[in-house]
Amino acid sequence: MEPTKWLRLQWDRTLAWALVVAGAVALIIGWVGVSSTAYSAEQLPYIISGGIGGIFLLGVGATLWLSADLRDEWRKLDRIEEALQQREAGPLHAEVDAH
Amino acid sequence: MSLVMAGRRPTSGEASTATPPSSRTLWAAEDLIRLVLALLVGGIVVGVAWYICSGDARFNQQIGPLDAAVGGLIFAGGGNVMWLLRGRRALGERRRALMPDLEAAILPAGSVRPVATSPSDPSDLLVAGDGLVRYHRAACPLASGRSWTGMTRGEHDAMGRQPCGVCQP
Repeated sequence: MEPTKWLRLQWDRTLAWALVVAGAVALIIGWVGVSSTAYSAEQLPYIISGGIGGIFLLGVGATLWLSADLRDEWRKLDRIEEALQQREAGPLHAEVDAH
Repeated sequence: MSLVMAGRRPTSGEASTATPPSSRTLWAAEDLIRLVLALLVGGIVVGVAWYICSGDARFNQQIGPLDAAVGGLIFAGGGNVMWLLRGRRALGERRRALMPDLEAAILPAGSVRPVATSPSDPSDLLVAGDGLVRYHRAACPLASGRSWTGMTRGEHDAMGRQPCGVCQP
């Protein structure tokens, strides 16, 4: 499958990965910022933006990924329901055709 | 996104209607709105907390914004958790409505009672497995090939059973 098509079909997982990477980058930047100074007052903004912001992005990414899994399962149930309905309708149609 | 997220969440009661699969959705529109609101509020609180914190060099004055940021994070996390739990619940409800008798497939063969005999009109009887909560028409795909007990609708109702969502007896 072409990468662009895959990205379009799996937009939720693509976005999830992007958010997870962004969260990891934010955490690293936050760590670098905190470690570059010894003053607590200068460290706190990095903790909020890099640390808490990074966890926020990671959380949203994880939620998107899990949502994609749930959606996959939902589509499977769609297919099962469709198959059951076709199976139920099958003998009836055959009987109508016979008449 | 809206194809999957918008629309109504099917409940176990609704599952008995003959809705085409494509018209059902995993999350309702209000679930999506709740999630977006939680993320927006949480994100804004974290952003504002950072703004206030970075503009103040006094440590004592930064504690409040830090607490607010943690609160915003927890709020957004709660929204995420609610979203996922609702999705899981909708999936579970639909799975149970669609495949109510999955337990029967894993029961030992001897644990299923044979079909009751000598009804006045066998087509009037509805079948169900022991210990299961749904009853079916005898021709239901979910009942095919199983030696389940046939009973009247009133008897099934008295036992607390509900009609199958597939054959809708």
